[in-house]
Amino acid sequence: MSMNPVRIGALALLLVAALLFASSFAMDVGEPMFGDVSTVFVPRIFLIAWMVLAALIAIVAGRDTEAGSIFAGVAWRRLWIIIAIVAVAAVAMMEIGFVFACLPAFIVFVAVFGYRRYGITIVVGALFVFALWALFLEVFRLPLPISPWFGTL
Amino acid sequence: MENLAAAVSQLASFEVLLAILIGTTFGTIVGALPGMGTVLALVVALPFTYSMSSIAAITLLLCIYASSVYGGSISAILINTPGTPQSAATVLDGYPMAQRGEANLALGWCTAASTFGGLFSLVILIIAAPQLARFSLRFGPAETFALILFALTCIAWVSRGSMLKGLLAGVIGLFLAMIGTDNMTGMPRFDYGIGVLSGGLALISLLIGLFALSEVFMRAAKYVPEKRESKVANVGFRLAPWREWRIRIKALVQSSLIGTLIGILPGTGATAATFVSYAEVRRTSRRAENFGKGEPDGIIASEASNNAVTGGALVPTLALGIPGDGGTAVMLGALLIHGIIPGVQLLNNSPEVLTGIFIVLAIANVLMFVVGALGAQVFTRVLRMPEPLLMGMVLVMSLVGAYTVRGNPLDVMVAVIAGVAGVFMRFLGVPMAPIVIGMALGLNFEESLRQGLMFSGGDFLSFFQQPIALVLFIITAVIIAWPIVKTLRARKK
Repeated sequence: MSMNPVRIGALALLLVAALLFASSFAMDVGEPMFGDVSTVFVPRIFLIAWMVLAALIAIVAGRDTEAGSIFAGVAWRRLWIIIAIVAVAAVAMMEIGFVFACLPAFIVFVAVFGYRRYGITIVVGALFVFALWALFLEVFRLPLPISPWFGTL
Repeated sequence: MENLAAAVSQLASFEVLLAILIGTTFGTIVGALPGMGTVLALVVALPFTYSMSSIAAITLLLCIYASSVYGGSISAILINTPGTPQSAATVLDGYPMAQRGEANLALGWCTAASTFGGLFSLVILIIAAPQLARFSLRFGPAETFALILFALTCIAWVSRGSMLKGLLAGVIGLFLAMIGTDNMTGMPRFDYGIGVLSGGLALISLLIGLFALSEVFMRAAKYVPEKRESKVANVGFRLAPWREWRIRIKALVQSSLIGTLIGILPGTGATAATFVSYAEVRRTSRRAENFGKGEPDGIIASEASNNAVTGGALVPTLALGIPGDGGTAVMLGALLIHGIIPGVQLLNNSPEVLTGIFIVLAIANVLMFVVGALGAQVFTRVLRMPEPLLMGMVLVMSLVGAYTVRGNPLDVMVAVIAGVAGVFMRFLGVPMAPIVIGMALGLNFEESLRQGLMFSGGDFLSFFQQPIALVLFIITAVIIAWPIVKTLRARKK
């Protein structure tokens, strides 16, 4: 059985569904009453369908001549760095507030993305982040995460 | 008449009027930016609606929904790149016309056809939605179960890529809806002791991750710097004389009808409608030989149909609570957040809201014409905006959006994880829309199945004894079997 990225991906999805399915047997779901089925009855049906479909995709992927080229032209390093920036920004937002997390994240993100006009990036980023912060705080009255240092900022 | 007066009084506020203006302009601009699309425009705007009144929030989203489809045609005409997949056919005649130095005329045809298509489908929506909602009174658990199954199959059937991947996406969405406390017994399931999961996954966080963040990640992964310059002259807005319109009324009505009818079918969406309409108008047009060379009939076929889909797709969404595509799934989520439950309840309990929705759509379509006419020059400037800056803004908006859903930091992490999973799915060719639609329908699907089983004492065969359900099951079986039969036939040949 030759391996290509689509087949590997489908098998990974199959594994996820199998693990979820197995975990459903360890759940305390109580006894069904009044002719009802178990709480995990319907989710298990979905998981079985998930496993069957993932298996079928894995089988069909062997005949797919284009399956090997799905990653063509992908800049992996840039992708992983961008994902890391977003994850760090998401965590940092809770610790140091929206403005202090998102402004640096915006600048680094745009630079890693490939835009080299740093002056424009900083100005646009600062205007955009502060405008959003002000809009949510003053107009919508929806507080965004704040830093431990500057009150509502 | 009472409903009309009540609806007008609800809409007659500064907040709602501002929402109409901002929604239509924002939708047109975001729609015009290549690759952004209707769903992304809606998702990015969602956080702004949380603190608005229900009617203003729905107004904003409806205006974005209606105008973003039109916006996609602007970049199709000016830079040969459709802003949304729905405008792919507009490129075929819009860009050649613009290259001839008639970009203003092309935008005029496109804007007027879009407005006509939108208003045409609105009339159908006004007639059909209440009728369908009343008909749905005959629906018990078996019919609801069969209808959702039918809708999910339709959605998977027309999914880009393979049907298997579309079905898998739908099933994953259905399963994700199961995470959290079981509504019928109060028992937790698949939460693994994680507090935030016991309340279930927030649909909006998943939407933000799957549509917005995964788009950002994909763009970063495949970014190649290029200048999006408009190489066409005479950018502006000009309407063709009446004699030119008169000979094209048939194409206009034909395309609008095709768009509306295809829009009503769950899952088919505007892209399919556009190409069906383009092929049909080309087949029947007296100017068929000019198609692909800048023929106005081609622009009309594409634009009238894709805008007509917006009204059509809202028919099952508002009447039955079944979203037809990703855009209407977001709309459904937003309606529920604001306490508006689509279906017969909406018709009976809040008819003025339904009337308000119709009025807003009418205004949005007319305003779309005005925005298109006045904003043509502005759009060319917006199209020049560097992609990294644009994606940076989408990223920040996504983080804000995920946080403000419930003010829960873990929702932000859910969005990021969904974004990474979305990239993985996109590489595999698994479509995003069925996941969201599956998630929006998952709990209803389970509830109808379990209620049906309880009523029948656990006899699933009783589902097939209900005539409406039986018809829907048969259609579903045919939809699933058709590609298999087709493949087997092709192999025999």
